[in-house]
Amino acid sequence: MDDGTLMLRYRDGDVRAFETLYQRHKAPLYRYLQRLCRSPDTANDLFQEVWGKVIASRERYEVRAQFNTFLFRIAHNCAIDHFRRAASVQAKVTADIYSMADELPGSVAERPESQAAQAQLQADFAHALNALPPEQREAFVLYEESGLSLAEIGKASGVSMETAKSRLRYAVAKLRVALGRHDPERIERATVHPSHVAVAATLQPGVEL
Amino acid sequence: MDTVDETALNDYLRRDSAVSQRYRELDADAVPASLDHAVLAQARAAIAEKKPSRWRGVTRWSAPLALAASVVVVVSIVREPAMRKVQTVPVAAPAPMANESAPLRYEMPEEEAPVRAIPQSTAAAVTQEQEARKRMQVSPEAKQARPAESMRAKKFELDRNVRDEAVSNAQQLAAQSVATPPPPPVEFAPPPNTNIAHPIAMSRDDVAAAAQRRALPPPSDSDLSEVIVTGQVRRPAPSSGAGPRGTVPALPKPDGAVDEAFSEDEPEAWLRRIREWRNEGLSRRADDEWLRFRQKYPDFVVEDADIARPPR
Repeated sequence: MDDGTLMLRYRDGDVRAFETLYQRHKAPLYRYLQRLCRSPDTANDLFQEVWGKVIASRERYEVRAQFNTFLFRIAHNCAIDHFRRAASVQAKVTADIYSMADELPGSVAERPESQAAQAQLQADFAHALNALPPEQREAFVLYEESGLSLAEIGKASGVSMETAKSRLRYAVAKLRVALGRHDPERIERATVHPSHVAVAATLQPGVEL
Repeated sequence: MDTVDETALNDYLRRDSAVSQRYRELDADAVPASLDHAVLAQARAAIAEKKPSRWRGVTRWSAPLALAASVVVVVSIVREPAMRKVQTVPVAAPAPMANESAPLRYEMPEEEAPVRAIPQSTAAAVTQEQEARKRMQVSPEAKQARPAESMRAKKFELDRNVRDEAVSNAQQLAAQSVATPPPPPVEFAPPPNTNIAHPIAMSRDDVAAAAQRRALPPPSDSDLSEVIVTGQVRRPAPSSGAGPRGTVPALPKPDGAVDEAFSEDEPEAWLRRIREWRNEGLSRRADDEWLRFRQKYPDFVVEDADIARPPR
């Protein structure tokens, strides 16, 4: 049964329909919020807030788009509201990056050599992901977790499809750069343009290219 | 730059790029069980609060349905008496006779002698005629109510033929007072052989003639029987001005002239002519001729239908 039908059933009083919906979408949503917020407590709060709004909006729910679009639209708005309430988005991003570094598993030197490179790769990737501007990171995580198209990502984020595509393009480029450091073949395939690095260093949240 | 980035993006959008693969390899926490319980409990609570909404559709329509049902019941109750009135046979002509308030001529105790009814009948006829005229001018609603009164008239012990004759006479009287006389009721359809005149339907001329007849010598026994039956004494032949106003044209009858259709020397033809007049609605003339016929041929054997039954 598709998500729209389950939501309509829940609107009509079928709790089990909601439970099915919840089981389908709770993990991607939770990962999305984790990547976006990079704080487990914040992700937990936002996770519960998002589902609470889904429950509250069941009466006026209409099957006009995918349920994923509807769900991540609510998640996006909740996240934006949360960031606006925060003292400084840039400061938080910076703090999260360092805190993330502290939370990483033990130093690479402590692991066997065969796993060290893999761990380092993941660490670098995670760092690169966290270093992305929030809009680009959101576009990338949304694409990875929700399975929505570029147009639907634009709707969920409240922007046009071209804007969503642009954000995703820059995010992918930066992440490929991080991966290229560990993969000589990827370095050859990936073309690192000096302007990418400059943009990444100077890009402020909310600034679109 | 754009070309490279676009190529990289297209490669990524296929969802099998190295970037996606690395992303999926990242450690990710599962949703805590506490969060699951909290969210599901909130979902159930929301449904429990809105449980009555399942009946919202019913309650929302219950008031309009109840109102519609009430309107239907009220309309059916209001229309029932009207339908009952419409279903009864409309009788405008016999209404004067059927009126309980008006003393009917033949409403007399059995032990009374018929002769005594004569003077009473004349005055009663005048009164009844006046009341009949008033009733003829009543509203259509009252006319429709006459069927109910006519139904009550069945309780009275009246001669059926008298009633039938009253219908035809009343029709003529109604034609005088109203533009369109109502159709005669079926149950009071006068039989072809009815030749009894009802005193209620007497015209003014008839009343005057009746008053003159008081001065006439007492009728013979044969005439008395007819008086008992008809309630009238012989009255002079109507003048050219008598008869229903504007409805039945006065037949030209010069003095001494005899209708071509019959001769008084031929009783059978005379009787036949009388019946024809009655069928044509010329009851008054037929009555006069009947009286004259009976005076001339008191012993002439006529059919039972021609014989007016005396009032019980």
